[in-house]
Amino acid sequence: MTKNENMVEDLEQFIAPPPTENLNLEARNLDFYYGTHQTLFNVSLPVERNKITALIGPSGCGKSTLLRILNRIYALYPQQYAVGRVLLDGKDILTDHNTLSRLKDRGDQVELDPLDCDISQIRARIGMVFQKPTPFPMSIYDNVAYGVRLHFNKSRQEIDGIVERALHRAALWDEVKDKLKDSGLSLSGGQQQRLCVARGLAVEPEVLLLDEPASALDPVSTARLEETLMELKKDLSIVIVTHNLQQAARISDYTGFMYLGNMIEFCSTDRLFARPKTRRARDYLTGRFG
Amino acid sequence: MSDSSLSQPSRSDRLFSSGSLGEMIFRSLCFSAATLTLVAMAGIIVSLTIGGWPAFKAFGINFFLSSEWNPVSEIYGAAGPIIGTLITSFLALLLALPLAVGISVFLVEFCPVILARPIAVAVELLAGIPSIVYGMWGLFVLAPWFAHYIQFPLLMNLSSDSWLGKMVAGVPNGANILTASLILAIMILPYMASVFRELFLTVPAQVREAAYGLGATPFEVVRSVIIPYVKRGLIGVIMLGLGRALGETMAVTFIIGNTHSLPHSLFDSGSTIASTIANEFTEATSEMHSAALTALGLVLFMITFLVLILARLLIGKRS
Ligand SMILES: Nc1ncnc2c1ncn2[C@@H]1O[C@H](COP(=O)(O)OP(=O)(O)OP(=O)(O)O)[C@@H](O)[C@H]1O
Ligand SMILES: [Mg+2]
Repeated sequence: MTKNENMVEDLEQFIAPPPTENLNLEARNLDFYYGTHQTLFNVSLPVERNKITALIGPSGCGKSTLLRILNRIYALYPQQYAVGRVLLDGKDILTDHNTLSRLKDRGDQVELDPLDCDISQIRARIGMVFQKPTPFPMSIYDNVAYGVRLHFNKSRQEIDGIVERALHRAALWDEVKDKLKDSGLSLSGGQQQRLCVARGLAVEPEVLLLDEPASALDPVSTARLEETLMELKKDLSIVIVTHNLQQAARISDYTGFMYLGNMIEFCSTDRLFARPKTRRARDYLTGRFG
Repeated sequence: MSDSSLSQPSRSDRLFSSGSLGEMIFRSLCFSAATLTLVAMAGIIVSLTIGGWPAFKAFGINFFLSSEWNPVSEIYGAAGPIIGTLITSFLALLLALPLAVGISVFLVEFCPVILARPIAVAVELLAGIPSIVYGMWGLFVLAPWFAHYIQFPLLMNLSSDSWLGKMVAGVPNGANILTASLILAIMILPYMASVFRELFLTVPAQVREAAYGLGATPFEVVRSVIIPYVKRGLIGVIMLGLGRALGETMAVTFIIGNTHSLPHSLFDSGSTIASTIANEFTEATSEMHSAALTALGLVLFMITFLVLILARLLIGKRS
């Protein structure tokens, strides 16, 4: 086992979570393994309803991995597994046999309260936009309509409306409104990324997970996307991974700082950016990171 | 800006600077390799046409329309083998395609990790078995089994006037159009399955994940994301499989029964172009007989050619 090589000695942590009654999604004490390689260590992440929660931290610290647990994409790969709990509105969504026996092995005394619905419904409720743009090999319109058609029985006109609204919100409408029938693969990298945001928005998830959605966007589109997110949080909860600290400071309500697979500091964004408690967060925020 | 800062160091000492002798030799070698294929193809077409010309001239359009193929009275109508070739190949494709898709999707999407590799290797090994082995297996195992357990019972129990009865009429010896198609299907199946699998593996993991992430089920992901992602490749592979079935000689010769008349039912014996040529070329003593066989060769060449063109058209439309 490579368990300990990533462990941070002198683990100085500071966690100030929001009040538990407002949590929409919550990860509790998660360990995560890519095969035998452990990449998350006892990570907890509370996601408050109708708020934006940002995840920051150096490359490779496990931000994407954490998001991949939250909507259970990791479960596509039999070698990867998580130990811990993820609660959607208080109900467990990581509750297969394996997880249960691993929780017992770890010594957790838990009463599971599983969410009674299948994995595709969970994923529809917890939308995800990936770090790299992933348009499907179909038209721009069909890309956005894809998830809607999977989960809802809507008429042609209703879908037209949803597609247009989602593209507006993702700040892409003006660029593609005349070529909705063109292939999604024909767009530029940044446009593809906004297409994926639109695709995620169209199914109206309760929680939206965004993995560096602005990494390929120009400043104008980034600003539009941020506006969209600020507006969207009226309807849903958002978790956003970003390398752009100003962005995290501008739009998020809570921020988690991760380092080598550990959640080092989690508190309200104002507090984290004004007075980081831990030395590592302080170093990272001031750019003195080694 | 001073001139000296722009001047490049001299590169005339490079062997492969453009216009140099080395580069010219390289280019002409590539060029001649490419032209060689064109020349070879033109040569084959020309010699087949010249060789088959007497048959085309003697029988005209009847060479394609008549199914009387009689070396004794020197009458050659090739409708039987031509139809036999088309039917067996398309039937084989029809049987093999859904299975190949099923196997490859299972291997890529559902198969437990421990099983995936052994099955994939087995499929690849099957794809490499020489066709004569399939032919022998067809003759010694499949044909008797088929005659005994399928053809006989059907013959005994179906009225020969019924529609179904007509479909299965024929000498119950297991050597017929359907068993030939089965053998062909078994032959092209592993090839198609293993290439399909490789194609499916080229779909980027993130795209699959994104589809699952929207809450799609495995069937929906395969149907609307994975297959469309590799559609052009799939069409190419299907056409190559069809091409292989069209030209397959040994396996078919073993099991198709080798009669030149038009097949009247699926259980009737028949022949294909390739099996006819293989069977008769050594015995073709008369000039007209050789000419007819050469003409058949040209027809087969044209059919495969058309299949390739069709593939190009289909692929081109998607881009
Ligand atoms: N498929 C995988 N198999 C094995 N290890 C992996 C895999 N994906 C990621 N890892 C490891 O997990 C750790 C966390 O990776 P992760 O992608 O979560 O980082 P990240 O914080 O998102 O980084 P970045 O900011 O660069 O996107 C890394 O050390 C990485 O090497
Ligand atoms: Mg990442």
